Amino acid sequence: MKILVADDLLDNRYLLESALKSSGYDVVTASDGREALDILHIAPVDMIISDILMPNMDGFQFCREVKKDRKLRKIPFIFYTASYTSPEDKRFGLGIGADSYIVKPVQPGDFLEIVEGLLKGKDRIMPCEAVLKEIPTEEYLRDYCSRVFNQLERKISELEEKNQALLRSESALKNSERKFYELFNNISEAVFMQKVGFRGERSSFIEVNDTACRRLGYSRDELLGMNTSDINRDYLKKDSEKISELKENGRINFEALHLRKDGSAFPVDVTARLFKMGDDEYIVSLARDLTKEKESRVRESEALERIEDNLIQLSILNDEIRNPLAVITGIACIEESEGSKEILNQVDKINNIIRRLDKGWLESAKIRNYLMKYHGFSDDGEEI
Amino acid sequence: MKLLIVDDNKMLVEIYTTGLMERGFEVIYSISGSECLNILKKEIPDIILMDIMMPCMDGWETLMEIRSNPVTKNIPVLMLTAKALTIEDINDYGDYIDGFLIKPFTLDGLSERIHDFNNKRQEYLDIVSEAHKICSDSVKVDEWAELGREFYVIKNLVSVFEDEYGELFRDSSIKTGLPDILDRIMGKCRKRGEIFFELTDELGLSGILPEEFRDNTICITRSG
Repeated sequence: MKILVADDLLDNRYLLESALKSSGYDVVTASDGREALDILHIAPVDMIISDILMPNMDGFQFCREVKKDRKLRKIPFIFYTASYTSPEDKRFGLGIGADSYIVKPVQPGDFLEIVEGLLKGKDRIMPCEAVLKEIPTEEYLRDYCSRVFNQLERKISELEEKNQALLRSESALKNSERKFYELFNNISEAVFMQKVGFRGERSSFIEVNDTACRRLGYSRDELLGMNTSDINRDYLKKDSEKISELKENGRINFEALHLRKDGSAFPVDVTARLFKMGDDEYIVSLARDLTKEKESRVRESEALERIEDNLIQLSILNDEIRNPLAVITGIACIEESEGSKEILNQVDKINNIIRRLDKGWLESAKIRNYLMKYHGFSDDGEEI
Repeated sequence: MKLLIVDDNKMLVEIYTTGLMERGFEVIYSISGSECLNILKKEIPDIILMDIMMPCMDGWETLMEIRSNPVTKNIPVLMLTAKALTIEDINDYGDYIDGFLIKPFTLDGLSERIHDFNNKRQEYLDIVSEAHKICSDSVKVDEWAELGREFYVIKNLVSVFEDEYGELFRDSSIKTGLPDILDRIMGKCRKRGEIFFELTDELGLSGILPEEFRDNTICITRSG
């Protein structure tokens, strides 16, 4: 038994061919109705299975041609389609003489059963003269056009839907890109991105944010041509060590001095991360400006010095009061009179005040020590 | 009992000299650190009362000179001062002084303090001579006696500090913790006590050490 399969898609043809061949049928294939007709005129087959939507000559036209041909009209004809799926389509297909109309998807077993069933009853298939008579050319053309037109409309609306989805995802992508662009350019850290070369060296900057440009005084285009050594004053030859540390830990953190375009330098705290994109490795570095922090440290240490001076003055004053107080006490003891007891009372009161001052002084000294210990100042206000 | 007063305040020296002599002390005085050192070349007092804030050579300097001279190094020195006692003072000079008295004092009060100190010292010296009778290793006993003296001095200084400023460090509203230096002093003091008591047992002297001398507790401790 030989079956002709007509389908414009190679994958579909292949699928049908292997399914049929494995059931013991011979198979010839054509990629449209025209080619299929040519094959039929050379050698007849026992069955035709045809797709509908094909170039040059579609399945409907092909079927009509077969059924008009006296030599071919007895060959059982099956429509096998995924695109013409409405009841009207099916009615039209069967109306022009097809013996079966199968809408994809269908189980291979069911499909083969239909094929087999049709082949068995092959001799019982009526010639289609009556059918042909009932459908005059004009009517056929009108219905055919309406089928094709429907199909086109559906295709167009499908395309339109796909197009809309594409537009939606494109706009989502744009929004997301915009969001990250704003984040990237508005964070207070300067961001630099570099590629890692195959010898482990850094490329010139491939991306920088607005903050980086503003801080360093360069335009974006200027910065993109530059490298770490151009903006890092203490850039050492040891950068390869930094990179290997990066590769080991994924991130590193260090302090550095960055150079502006005008040559001035400012302190920064840099956090660098390594990441992979495709087969390449990249370094993204975030530099935080430490200028204000350092300035406030200097101010703090100056304030600390003032506190220190005041503390010394206070302790000297206390001592200076105690000596005359000791003299007064002594005199009151030696020249014992009615008033001396009261004098000693008063001295006691003053002494208590001085002791309170002492406590205040000690408390302040304690706070000063605390500041030195936990805020990283040594006695001279230098950072430890 | 012969006292040497060292103070640059002439009037105070005069008052203390008069007042203490009236109370039965023999008193000599000097009004500067260098004068004090000169006097010590001729006379050895039982106790020195030393001011701290003095021009030229201050009390601490004079103290260190006294301690570095073999003839004078064992004379007890009480700092009689207008300066508040600080933990830095304890840390720096705790090993060299014998007491710390903060002015002002009434003459009776001062006299009483000196007697108190002398009695305690005498009591300790008696214990030491008793120890010499019990234990024949006199080098070891002298070593033990010095260790004990150092321990008691620091312990005493800490308790003076505790009396004056203890609340400041324990209940301070500002949570700045205890200064490290105070921690070190406490540690040093405790360690000394341990070593001293160990040596006491080792030399078989625990029987002659009265209960009050066996107390190793230090008051100021870290809160939390």
